[in-house]
Amino acid sequence: MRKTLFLGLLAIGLVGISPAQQKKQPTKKEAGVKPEEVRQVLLSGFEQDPKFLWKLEQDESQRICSQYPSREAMPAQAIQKVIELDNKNIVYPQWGIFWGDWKEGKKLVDSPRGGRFASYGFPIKPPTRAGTATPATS
Amino acid sequence: MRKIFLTSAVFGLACAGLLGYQTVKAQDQELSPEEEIRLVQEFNRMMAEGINPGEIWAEMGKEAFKKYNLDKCDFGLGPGKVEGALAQLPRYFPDAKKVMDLETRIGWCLQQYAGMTPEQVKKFATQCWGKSQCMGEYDAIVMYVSMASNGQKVNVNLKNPQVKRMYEIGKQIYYARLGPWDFNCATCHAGQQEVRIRATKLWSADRPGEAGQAVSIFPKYLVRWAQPMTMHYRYAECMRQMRWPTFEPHSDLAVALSAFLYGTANGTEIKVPGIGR
Amino acid sequence: MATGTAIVRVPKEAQKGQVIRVQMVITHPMTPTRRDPQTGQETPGHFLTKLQLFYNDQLVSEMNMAAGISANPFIALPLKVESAGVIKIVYEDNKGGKWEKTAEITVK
Repeated sequence: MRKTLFLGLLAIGLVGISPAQQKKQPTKKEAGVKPEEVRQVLLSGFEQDPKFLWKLEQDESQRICSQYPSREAMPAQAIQKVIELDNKNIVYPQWGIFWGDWKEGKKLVDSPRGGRFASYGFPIKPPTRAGTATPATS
Repeated sequence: MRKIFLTSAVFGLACAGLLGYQTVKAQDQELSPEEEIRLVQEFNRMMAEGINPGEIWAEMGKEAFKKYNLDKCDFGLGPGKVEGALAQLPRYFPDAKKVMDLETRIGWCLQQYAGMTPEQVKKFATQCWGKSQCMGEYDAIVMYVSMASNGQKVNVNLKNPQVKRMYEIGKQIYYARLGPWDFNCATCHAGQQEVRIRATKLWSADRPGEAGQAVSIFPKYLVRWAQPMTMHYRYAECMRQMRWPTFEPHSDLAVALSAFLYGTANGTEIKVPGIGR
Repeated sequence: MATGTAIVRVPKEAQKGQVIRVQMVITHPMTPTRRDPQTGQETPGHFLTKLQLFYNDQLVSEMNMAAGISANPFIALPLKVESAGVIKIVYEDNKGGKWEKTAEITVK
């Protein structure tokens, strides 16, 4: 984890280095470039269609993630904060989550006749003839 | 069998070419032996690789270049000089008071010297977008100017404060998550691990040298569309796939991204046109 | 410049009796004949049909092509050169287009 973090920082540091500014930490805000300038350049680069300008608004988790080049380079608390923020946006189905019993499913999959979605009503017994495919034997 | 034929043909060509160049050049001027050998090797390499269909656009572009009065256009090395132009772009242009990359500069010069309005320039630049086998003049001009820098190394002047500023802006946008799918350029084109889309390995800006290999072959001839793809078209396509808003060619955003990508590619030899799926 | 433009590339010089590669790339859509499955209507294809290679006005190679070749084809043909001359390709397509392109070679 620390090694990848160091590599990530080294990568950004090497790329973003200039004789005047030598930084060792991740380049969140380069000293020469303000966020307003970046925003202006970004806005000018797209067709000014009001229907889609909402796409250029960053929400908080996007803003946090934009400061790091990749997930490996993010510190643990930043990852935690993003997970917290986005957990609120997960929409669960209104009828609840129904998974069913996985043991029954395994029986269906492992059976030589089962494994098809409509085979829950069929009797599960070995086939009369040998030679049909059985799991974990071939 | 074919391999033997090919290697013997190339070897024969090398010998013949060496002798040929000595006699030909003796008539024109004195070349040093290293220069001659380099020319012969260059020619042999070209013969071994075949012809890229994009070179036909370069021939078309030579005529279109004059037709639109672009021989008055200064790409940074003097009006009309295209040899080595792509190698030092993007750069700051005092007459426009902006940093510009190749296509933005062509668009600006079309407005200045060919009397086009900005809307006409945009229409001209996007005439082949979304089409296949389109013999467009804009692609031809970009291909012609880019091919003139073949063999030279990318040399963006990052010490110029304006170019450096655009480089930093481009880098921030590269890593900025936007849009309904939280996409940025770094989603695919960054990181130390190798990422693929189906069977194609993607280049990463964080792994050294790969950005240069990707960028130094643009405009790239695409077999699936049977036409070349320029940098701005590639930006537009990537942004369409990322579900970002519609990209505006010849904009500051394009210059920022080009400054970042070509700046990262400093030192890579230009080899236009590339060929891809 | 449009459909049917070609670039022909040969070595500038060759030795007598040497086999060289004549390389060419031709812009052409090379679309096959298509039939609409719903209406049964046929869209005629547009593709190169024949390519002839002349060396000093002597027919050396002839190549029949059809829609199976992809767009903007790159073709390389071997040619044994004995004397200096003009290499000419003449190519035609199924809609009546006929073009030619020449290149020169000197032989030691």
